[in-house]
Amino acid sequence: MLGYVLRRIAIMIPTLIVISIITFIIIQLPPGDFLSSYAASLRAQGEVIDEAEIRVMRERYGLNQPIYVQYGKWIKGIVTRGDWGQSMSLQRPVKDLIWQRMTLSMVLSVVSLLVGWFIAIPLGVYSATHQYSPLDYIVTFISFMGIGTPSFLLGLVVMFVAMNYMGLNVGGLFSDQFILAPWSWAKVVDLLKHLWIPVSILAFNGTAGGLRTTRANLLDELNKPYVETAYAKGLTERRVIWKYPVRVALNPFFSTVGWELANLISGATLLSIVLNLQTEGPMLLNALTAQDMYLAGSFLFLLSVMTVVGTLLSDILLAWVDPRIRMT
Amino acid sequence: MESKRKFTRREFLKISAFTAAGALAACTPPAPTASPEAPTAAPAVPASATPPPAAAGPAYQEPPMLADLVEQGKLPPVLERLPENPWVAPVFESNGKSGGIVRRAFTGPGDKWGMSKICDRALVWFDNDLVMQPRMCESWEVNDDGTEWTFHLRKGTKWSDGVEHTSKDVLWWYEHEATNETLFPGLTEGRWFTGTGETKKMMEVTAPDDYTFTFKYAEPKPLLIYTMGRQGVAAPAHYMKQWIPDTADDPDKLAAAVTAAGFESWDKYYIDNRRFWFWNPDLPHFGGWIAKNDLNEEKWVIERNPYFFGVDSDGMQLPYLDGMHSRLFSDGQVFNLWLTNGEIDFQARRVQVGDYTLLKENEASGDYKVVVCPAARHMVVVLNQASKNEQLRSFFMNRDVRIALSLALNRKGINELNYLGLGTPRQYSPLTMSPQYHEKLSNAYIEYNPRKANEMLDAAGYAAKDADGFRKYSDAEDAETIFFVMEGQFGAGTPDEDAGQQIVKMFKAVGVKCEYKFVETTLYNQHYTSNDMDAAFWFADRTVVPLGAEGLIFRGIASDRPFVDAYNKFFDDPENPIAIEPPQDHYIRKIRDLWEQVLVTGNPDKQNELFAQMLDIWAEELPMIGVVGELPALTVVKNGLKNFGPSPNDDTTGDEYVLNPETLFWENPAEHMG
Amino acid sequence: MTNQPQAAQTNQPRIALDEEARVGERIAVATPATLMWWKFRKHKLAVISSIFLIFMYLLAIFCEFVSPYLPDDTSALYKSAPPSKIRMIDADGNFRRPFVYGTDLSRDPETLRAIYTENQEVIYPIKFFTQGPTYEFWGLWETDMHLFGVAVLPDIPQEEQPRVMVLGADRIGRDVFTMTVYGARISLSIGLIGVFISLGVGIIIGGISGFYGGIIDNLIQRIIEFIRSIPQIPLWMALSAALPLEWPVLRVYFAISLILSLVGWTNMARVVRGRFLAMREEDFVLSARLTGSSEGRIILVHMVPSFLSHIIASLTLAVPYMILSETSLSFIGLGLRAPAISWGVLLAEAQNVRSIALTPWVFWPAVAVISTVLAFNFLGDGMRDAADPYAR
Repeated sequence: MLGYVLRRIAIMIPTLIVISIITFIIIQLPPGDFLSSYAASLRAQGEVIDEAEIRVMRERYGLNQPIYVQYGKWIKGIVTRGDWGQSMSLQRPVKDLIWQRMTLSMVLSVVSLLVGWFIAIPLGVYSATHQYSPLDYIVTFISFMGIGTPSFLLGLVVMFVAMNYMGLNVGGLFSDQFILAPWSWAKVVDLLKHLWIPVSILAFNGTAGGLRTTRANLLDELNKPYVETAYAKGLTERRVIWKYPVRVALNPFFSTVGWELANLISGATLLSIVLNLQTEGPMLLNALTAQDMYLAGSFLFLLSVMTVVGTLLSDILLAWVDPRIRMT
Repeated sequence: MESKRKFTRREFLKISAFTAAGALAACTPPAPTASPEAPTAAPAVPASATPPPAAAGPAYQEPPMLADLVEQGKLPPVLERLPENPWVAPVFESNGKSGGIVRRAFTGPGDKWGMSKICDRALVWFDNDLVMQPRMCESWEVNDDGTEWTFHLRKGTKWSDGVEHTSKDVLWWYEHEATNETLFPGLTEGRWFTGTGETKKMMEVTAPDDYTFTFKYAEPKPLLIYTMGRQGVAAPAHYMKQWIPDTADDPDKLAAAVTAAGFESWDKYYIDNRRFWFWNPDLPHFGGWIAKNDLNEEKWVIERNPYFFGVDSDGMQLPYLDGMHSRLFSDGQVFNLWLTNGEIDFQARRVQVGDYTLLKENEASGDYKVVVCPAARHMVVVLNQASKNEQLRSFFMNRDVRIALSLALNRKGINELNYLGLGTPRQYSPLTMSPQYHEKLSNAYIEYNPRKANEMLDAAGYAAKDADGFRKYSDAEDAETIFFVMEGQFGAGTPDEDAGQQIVKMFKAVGVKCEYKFVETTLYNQHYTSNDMDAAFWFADRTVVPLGAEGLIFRGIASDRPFVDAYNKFFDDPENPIAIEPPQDHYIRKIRDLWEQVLVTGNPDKQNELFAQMLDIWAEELPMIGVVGELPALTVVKNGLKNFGPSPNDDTTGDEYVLNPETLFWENPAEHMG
Repeated sequence: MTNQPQAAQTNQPRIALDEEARVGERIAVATPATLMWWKFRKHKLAVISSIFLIFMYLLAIFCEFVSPYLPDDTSALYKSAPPSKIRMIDADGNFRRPFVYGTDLSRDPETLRAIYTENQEVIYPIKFFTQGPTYEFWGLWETDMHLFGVAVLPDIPQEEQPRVMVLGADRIGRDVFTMTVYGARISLSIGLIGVFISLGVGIIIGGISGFYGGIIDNLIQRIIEFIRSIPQIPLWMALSAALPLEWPVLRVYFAISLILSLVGWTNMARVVRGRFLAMREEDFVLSARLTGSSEGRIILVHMVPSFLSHIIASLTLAVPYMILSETSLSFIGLGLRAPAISWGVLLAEAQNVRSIALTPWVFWPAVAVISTVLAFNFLGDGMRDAADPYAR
């Protein structure tokens, strides 16, 4: 096992190098660069900015250099100094910007993920063991509604209702007066008052996937001979179901949980935009549209690292929950 | 209908006369109704040149917010903070009460303008007749040919950190910033030089004494005064010197600071960050409010500048408001919810015309009023008459084609269907209230006459049609069907996007095949930069004081509206890969000639006359096809916020801030303390 | 009921067992397809869903005929008009064939809200197979026949014709029902291909990876990780810039969704691999191997069927996922845009407070999206149960 993990880590390094190169190329694929976007936004404001000015700025930012030089500069900063570069549009080191929004993003994602699982797994087990019962239909129906409702639409409608009929302040994770306030008990309470909207929408949207997978896998497992054997041995139903089939049925959860790692940071971007949550997702999207190269590049690279690490974690978890899987 | 109220220049003048009277009552001698020629004919003697009422030991009032600090000795009393002869701000309604904050919203650093236009204070500003008056300076003179501009500072004006501002700050700025080759290689800031290419020459700055300085140009620079409305020409030498290696006491400390902030070099840090108060809250400046944090936060806060140089006619130090907040939003709908819920106190920026009904219906519950301000915005069809595509180019270059396409538009229909009837069918032209208003251009070929349009297109040589009934480039058998894409960047479901589709239908109705397409900003940008754009449906503004905006769009210089961009590029640099030489008799040559003359004409009447000649050419040639114009800027104003009225809204005149925002006040400040 | 776990079965009355015996006889002689059909029939919601989906696809196929108007029939007379009230009884209490009253438009002078009042003087009966705006049916022939509508008045321009708008009108007077039906055509078809490509590639590569393990597995896993880490939004931005502007919006979207499906297979591949890894240790695989089955045979005949249910469950989530992606992409401005009409476009246009507050009926396309996704899921659910190889 240990050897396997070490080998995997050794392979990760070249993978990451290639990923970093591809990421850097892809973010530069759309036409133009940060300065042409910047100049365009100035022009849209009616500012005068002529080509000479842009040329000078391009030199200052080093955007006129060949892409491999820019890449070299970027990767050297990361490797040698842990310096992820500077955001051109936000004028701050990328590292600070990402950290700035990390806490809230994590709180939002982890809470919604847990809430989602907390609902999905028991309901999925119930649905599988009570197939075609009225409650199975109801649970299925609601969870499918959740898949089908676009989060951005639901977000807007929920905000509208919360504001107009419940008299709540909407948009963002804090009330106006708490935004810049230091953390305090009152601020936490205020956060909870705002957090329920995104969490319930995300749980509503996300539960179905887990629920259906659990149900489908569990149904497969329940029909296997060993389950029958267990029943025959006189084990209680609860024990039979939860001890083995559920564990196996959750197998796919573990094979994808690692990927949630990247999602924890950048997930729910659309909902965050609509609900005005200042999390990582909207910042990444802005960076991409503004062609803020270092911010977008470093961000995406970070996500890649998490995807790769997450996949490894997934595999280890998979081996742990399902001993039949050999680690070679 | 109330909302259909049109603001003519006269009406706006009436409002201003009323307000001016308010301001004048307090200060004698009366303010000169500075006509445009005032600065050239004789030195302007501004209203505020005379100290307020009690000449001996003026009785200035302390804003309550600062009273405690003064009492504790942490802040000098108001008399010491103000200049000897402070600026007396004209008010729209009445003098007001000090205190309270105003809540606004913005979309992030790219949207700094909502606050920066409030706080960037410079030497002069428009009065309510749209004529420049002294603001930060006491007065100015200019010589007859417009080459020498002399400004007189108010003695005792302070930076927001309390250090006195003198002409030495101007000299420092000139020597260390404006002419610094590292910061501005090739002296890129066009405002400070005259001529182009060989003749390009930087101005010279001299300061005969601490309160006077002169800009001297090699050639006349008559439009400089408009630049001075927003552009600072001084740097706080005592603070800024630490950010330039040559002047810093400790260059090593500077280098460390640059690295710590994540910048690669001092010049990058200086030019992108240090010289802007909104990135660098420590930077002393002159605005009514100073930043409490940089704009990279979810809430951007500005707070009263205790050293602001202005007072009202009762001697109360301005601004009235203690501060403003701007809250970050990423999607316009959250903003709309805030607006309708009364969580925004004062804002025109980002408020959409299409939301008129929504905003009006929530006026009572949100406790605000929607003030309909005449705005500079026009919707225009931009036909690229310098297109790379030669067939299309010659099609668009045909004046009759442009006129025919203009006649093909049912402007009234678009205005009713898409804009709730809030706009005015007109060509892109200066607003009715503008000093450069041009009636002929406003109404040129705006009637809806598809039959005549068809006749003109037939006569222009595009009578032959393809199987689908669309016109071809010629009557040759193998001639291609005329086709172009109009690019636009409007959001889904906006009135503008819908109007784009309507226009396509109308062009198709006269046999001209085209499409309106949404393109991503980066792509739009790429297309005009490389002259790959056929046409655009876009907006055009700067019609309140187009001269002040250097006729930017009328000259085709704003290259995101590329109707003759490749031609203009040719004049700037024939080697430019996208440059195309315009035909000898092309209208852009005449427009350029006239503008050259405007640039060297000191007399404002003459300037207007020359500019009117440019607009005559526009009325004949229709370089851009206007659809609807004078689209209102909806300004949401919380009930109880005073001193704001329907005023023209354009970039050049500071958007919703043409009436000095320092004079905004709450009827009941205690209710708005945040 | 036969596939319920034993524990539940013990509670069942004797009669059920008898029935089971009788069913057992029939089962003995039924073909697998019949068996599946019997099982599928039991899932009531799946049956209803498949009928619903057939109905939706019919609407999409015949959208020109089904909708009474054209999708670009704008009209200042019907801006934001609420759904027409279809009546059978007139103001005098007389029973008639279905009809709508004429409407008078006025504006609130203060807010400019459009106010529609019924004009009970004018009655427009609703007719079926009636004349309406002319269209080209499937681009083949021209006709003005529509499924339903109100009579066309002579000498009146199209925008001023009386209308019956069962779902109301949007901000520029277009019929929401017409828009929704036209939107179905794009939304229901586009992206399906993408899903099937993802599925095919995913099963093959995932299968290979999981079956062989070792170096091949490692290599494929690294490739998957790599592909997954390619950021999609800039890729979209780059692609939409690379495709010619003259291309119709639809073709652009189709091209891009095709390319993206080549990224989308990774998810499927990974799940399949996980299953394979677990399954290749199973006895039946070993015995197949020992009896000399070829590897292809082992994968396709023995292993794939054993997790088919899981694949179908994933597929049912993938089809609606494409429909939803289309709406999301429209929302961030990278998807389809007007003049194309899809549910995503309609939702992006409706995604604002003024629609909720003033014209909530423009959210009908959302109802279409939700119910279609719902139906697809139930259908898949039913198919999964029917294809379940272990069920007795």
